[in-house]
Amino acid sequence: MLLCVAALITALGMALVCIAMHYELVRATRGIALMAVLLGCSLLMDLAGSGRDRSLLPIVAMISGIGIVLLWRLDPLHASKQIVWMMIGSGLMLATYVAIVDVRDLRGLKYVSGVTAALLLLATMIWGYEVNGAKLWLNLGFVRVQPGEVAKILMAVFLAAYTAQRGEIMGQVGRDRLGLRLVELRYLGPIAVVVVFCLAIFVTQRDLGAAVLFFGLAVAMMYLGTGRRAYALVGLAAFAGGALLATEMFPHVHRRMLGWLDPWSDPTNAGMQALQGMFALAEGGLLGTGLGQGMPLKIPEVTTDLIFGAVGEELGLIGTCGLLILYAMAVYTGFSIAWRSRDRFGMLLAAGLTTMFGLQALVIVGGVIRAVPLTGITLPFVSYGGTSVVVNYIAVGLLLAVSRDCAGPGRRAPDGHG
Amino acid sequence: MAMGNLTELRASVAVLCRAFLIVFAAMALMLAYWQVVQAPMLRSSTYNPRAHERAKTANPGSLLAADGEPILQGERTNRGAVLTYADPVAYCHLTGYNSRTGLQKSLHHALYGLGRYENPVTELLGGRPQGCKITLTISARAQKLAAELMHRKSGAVVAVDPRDGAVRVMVSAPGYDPRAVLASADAYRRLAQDPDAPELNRALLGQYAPGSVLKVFTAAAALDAGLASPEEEFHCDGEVGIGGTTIRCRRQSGHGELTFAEAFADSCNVVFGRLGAELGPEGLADYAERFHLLAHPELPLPGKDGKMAAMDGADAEAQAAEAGFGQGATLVSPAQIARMAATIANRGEVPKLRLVQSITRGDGAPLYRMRSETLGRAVSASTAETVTEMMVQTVDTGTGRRARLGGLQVAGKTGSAQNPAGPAHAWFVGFAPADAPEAVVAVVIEHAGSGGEEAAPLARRVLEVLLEGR
Repeated sequence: MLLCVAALITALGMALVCIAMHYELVRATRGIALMAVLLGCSLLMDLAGSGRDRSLLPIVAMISGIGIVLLWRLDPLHASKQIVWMMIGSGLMLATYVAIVDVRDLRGLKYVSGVTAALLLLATMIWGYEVNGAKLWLNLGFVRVQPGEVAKILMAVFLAAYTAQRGEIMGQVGRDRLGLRLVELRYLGPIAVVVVFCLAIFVTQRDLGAAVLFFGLAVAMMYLGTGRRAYALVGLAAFAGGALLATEMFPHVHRRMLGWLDPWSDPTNAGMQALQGMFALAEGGLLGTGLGQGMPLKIPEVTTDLIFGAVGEELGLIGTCGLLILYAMAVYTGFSIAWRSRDRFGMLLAAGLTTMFGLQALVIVGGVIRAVPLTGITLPFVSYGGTSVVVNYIAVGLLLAVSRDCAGPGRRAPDGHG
Repeated sequence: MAMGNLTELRASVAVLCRAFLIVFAAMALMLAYWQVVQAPMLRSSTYNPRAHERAKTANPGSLLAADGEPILQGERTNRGAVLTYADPVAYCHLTGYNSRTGLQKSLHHALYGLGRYENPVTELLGGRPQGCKITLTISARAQKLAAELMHRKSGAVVAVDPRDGAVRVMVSAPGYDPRAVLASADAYRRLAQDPDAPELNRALLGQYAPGSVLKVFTAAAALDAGLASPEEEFHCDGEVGIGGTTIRCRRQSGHGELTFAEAFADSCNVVFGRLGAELGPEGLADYAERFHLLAHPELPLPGKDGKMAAMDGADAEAQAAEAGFGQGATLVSPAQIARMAATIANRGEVPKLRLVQSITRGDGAPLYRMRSETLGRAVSASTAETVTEMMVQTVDTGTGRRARLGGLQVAGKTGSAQNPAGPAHAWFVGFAPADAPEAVVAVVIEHAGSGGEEAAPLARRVLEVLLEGR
């Protein structure tokens, strides 16, 4: 039933945009079609098995709906494409949910997924297609995909499986040195190799946002695997050191840092994106200008990296905080799926996927509001980007599979349509 | 797998979840900071393209001289918001030639009624922004006269009311026609590449050796520090060696015996070189600080700090001596020299310069009114009075005789500043009436030679207009 609410709000939003932008009202039915597909998926999942989480899909549908309404206002052509991508994504979500008989079987794919992730990134580096100075796309002839997005899920599976197996050892078998229990290298080896490999590719590919995501994921998994906050602190310290080093070594990183710390020193160049995003936020104020009433098209990369600026301009603080609350709800739901899991791998997989999702939202929102440097990553389910949307839906499918397979018999949520 | 481990893991998941929720809450707070607290600042930024888009829909306001005469007149035509120049060349360095130059840039939001210059009700209802009426401190008559007098010359004229720091005249020559600049790319290139640099506002950005006009500063510092008194006897042989350099007086044969006041009136470099050396690097830097001599004028137009020799190392004494009579590495703008003289005229207190007198919103609500403000005391009132007397003597009997005004006592100082680019720059700085000063004028004419011959008569005519009808 919650899904119907999301559908109603989306339809209303699209109708509003149509009126404000003088589009034909009939075209807004596409948004309703998307919601119908999501509802259909939900019903089909019920047929495939019961016991899954009931609140995640409606939250994701609501965020997707807001995303579609915004894209519809910014660029109807991209919005139409995005609707198609979302339909494909929800289809794959359903397929993932149905095809995986027991999510614990994925443990067997530990090294396959790790190596595939690495190969995908390597392939991008070699045959990559360049857009805006970043080589992130692979051209498959009929469609361009971002292998980096796919690698995110594979990496989450690999790290969850690896940590589930080795984590306990990492936490307990170690010698005290410098007041910190150091883990023997052979346990950390594979994890470190894959992480370093990915990071190296991302830094050379100029995709800083993704590098941050992978690093954050690895640190979170280390923490979960060992239960020691020291790992998280060491990880953050290593990250700060790495960031400083990268700032010194790479001019494009230096520019990003400058644009973050002091955008006013170079307002038309290094600080341009950061400032234009903030101007949009300021324009919206508390209530926003209203859909179609602002000038969000003045923001660079507004349909992808800086779409949160458009939310701020047209929907105001109410809109941005509302969206943040939806993301926080999604993250909370993801972690509660992990928390309810009675299986170590399932718990780690759900936590890993949720961490990836939450970090992604935080890094890009933080970038727009200058809490962290601005990096080129998508706002999940809102920014335009086919691969990103599809992969995020598949991640939802995985999370739902975890909630179905790993919840203990006593902790199963009561049945009933969400 | 032991259940204990799972419980431990579950606790870690809860910690991670809590950490995420806390960060989300922090993000919401930060959003409120930018979207509400900092919003007015961001909305009125000149780099915000929304302001320029909105300006196109505005009823532009107007820019007026102090006496109400228009400088820029805003109008809505079928081509959009248009500003017309009332006297393009006379005001070119004030107005600039588009919304990215001159006062059209710094007062952009006021001119088009945007941001904090907009009626909040109109803004809320999305009505047409109404530009403000901006009144400058500039005297239209004196500005036009000065622009005319500087025609075919290079240099600048700055006049200031010493009582409140109001800038009454700001002319930089050569000027240009702002209407012609944007006519074609070619016209703009001609302006930008003209070797005479007409685009440069010399009044604020010119960096001139001040020469002898800086003796006003040295004299005030020496008197204030007790290093000299007006009747004290000095001796000039025509040249003197200080710290390894030889300082020559404008009179090759020397002045012989003379008082400090006579040395000032006849602009004796030997005496002022000695005083510069006696004040020394610390003394000169200290008084330069107190006078705000080299400080940026902080007007709504681009300005620049002045320069003085570093005065350290082996040459320190020689550099201090040269700084004492305004040569060496000393470089200042005409506005800084005007403020120096205004400080003497204001009985030793440094007035903060002002260019905008008032801003009134389109619907008549007053938004800004200039208040006089002082930057601090440079020298005692009695020192300032003594310097004024010496400046009166300079105009009555010394090098500044051509600045005399019938019926009014003028205080002044001339300068002929040596510079590496060619003949000396002609300087004059002065104020009147000497007993209760109302107007200070600084004039520099590039490579014109003698300040007494070239700059003083021009300053006299500007003073005359400024003090007319008293």
